[in-house]
Amino acid sequence: MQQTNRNKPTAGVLNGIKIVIASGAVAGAMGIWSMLAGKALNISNVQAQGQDNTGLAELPTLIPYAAVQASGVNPVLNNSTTGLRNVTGPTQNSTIQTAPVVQTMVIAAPSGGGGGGKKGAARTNSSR
Amino acid sequence: MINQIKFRAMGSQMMAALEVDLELAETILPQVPQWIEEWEQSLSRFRPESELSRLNRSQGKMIRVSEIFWDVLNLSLQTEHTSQGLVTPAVLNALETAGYSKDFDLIRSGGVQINQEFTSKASLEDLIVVEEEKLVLIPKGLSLDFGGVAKGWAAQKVIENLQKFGPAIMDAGGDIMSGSALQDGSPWPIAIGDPFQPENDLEMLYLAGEGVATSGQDYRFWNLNGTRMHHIIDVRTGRPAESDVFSATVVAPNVIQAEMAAKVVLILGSEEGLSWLEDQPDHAGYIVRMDNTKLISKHLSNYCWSKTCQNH
Repeated sequence: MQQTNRNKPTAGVLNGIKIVIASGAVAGAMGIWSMLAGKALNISNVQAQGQDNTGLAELPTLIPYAAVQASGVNPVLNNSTTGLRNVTGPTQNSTIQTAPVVQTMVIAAPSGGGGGGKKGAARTNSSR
Repeated sequence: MINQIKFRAMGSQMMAALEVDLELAETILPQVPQWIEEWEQSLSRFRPESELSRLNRSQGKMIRVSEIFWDVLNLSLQTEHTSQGLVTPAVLNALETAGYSKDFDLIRSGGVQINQEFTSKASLEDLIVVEEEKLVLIPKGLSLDFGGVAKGWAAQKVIENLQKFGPAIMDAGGDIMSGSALQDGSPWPIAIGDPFQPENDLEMLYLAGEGVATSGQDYRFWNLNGTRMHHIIDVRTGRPAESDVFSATVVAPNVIQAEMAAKVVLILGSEEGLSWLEDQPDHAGYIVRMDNTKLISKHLSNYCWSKTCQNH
């Protein structure tokens, strides 16, 4: 049975596909740098509500419908593969033109105040 | 022995260093450019067949993305939230309107002529993703540029891979992630370049396990219809930030946070930017203003060599 939200538009998806809205506010509440620790980002707190036996689920009420083109959502509603383009994996065959070589790095010991005269392992500056 | 490899990728000069014996270094380090090449094939906006380019061309349609793309997208969402919307990958339209529509090396050699209107709205609020299927839908009118987040993510991943073998550091065009301390226990020395005199250094920092990044108006700039433009977009105006900060360097627990924070400081301006920086307990910064005066945050003394720096 498809549920109806009294206040917001709704949409459904095939069973097993969970819809998540990734607004900035939601993402920020998820433990900010967890991805850096190699952990999967858990955003299940905003997963679809109201799944039932028909396999249909309401989209969360956070959806900014005005910005979503219905033509883009319909393929997901009707068929789990139609309309989806799998772009996983490398799509361009390119090679490194000249193989860089491994070299020894020398780090000079600091000898005084200021920055002059010392050689760091690296140098930060605006993106070069 | 510290060994390094230098190469160009992601439109930037890259360097990875690893403290192991030469034989092992010659096996491991040449893989770094290959890793980054693979990631760039997914994340570059300058490659027409990258996942990012294909997503940007597929507005209004659900697209399945790779694990790499998903990771970087989530980091971008987190960055946008943490920066209160100031740093977002949703600035591609603004960047292109400002003239940054092709690889920067081409802009420097060929110039820019574009006649479009600047618009201020830019955020990921309208993005829709399907978590378990890694599906992404961007609405019409929105285009993404991962920019510094992608470079920071790459530097972070390289360090994760390299430090299984020994102490390592990764420099991604000036955005630097340091691994653990060297084998003798000393941290990695990292210079802050002088934006007014690029051959000189301003300070020497000592990092072990932190990231450092610099955002500035000193290198990636160009003229558009007679107006000086640069690549740090202020989403509040949709234009390159009008700031008294010429260059901002930030140390943070990782390079992605550092890169975001450096941009925030530049966009906010020196006074507000320094105040924001001081409120971040694990951040430290060095700001060079347009008049070449300097501001140093109080926490920078934790990482700085010189007495000048430590006296702040």
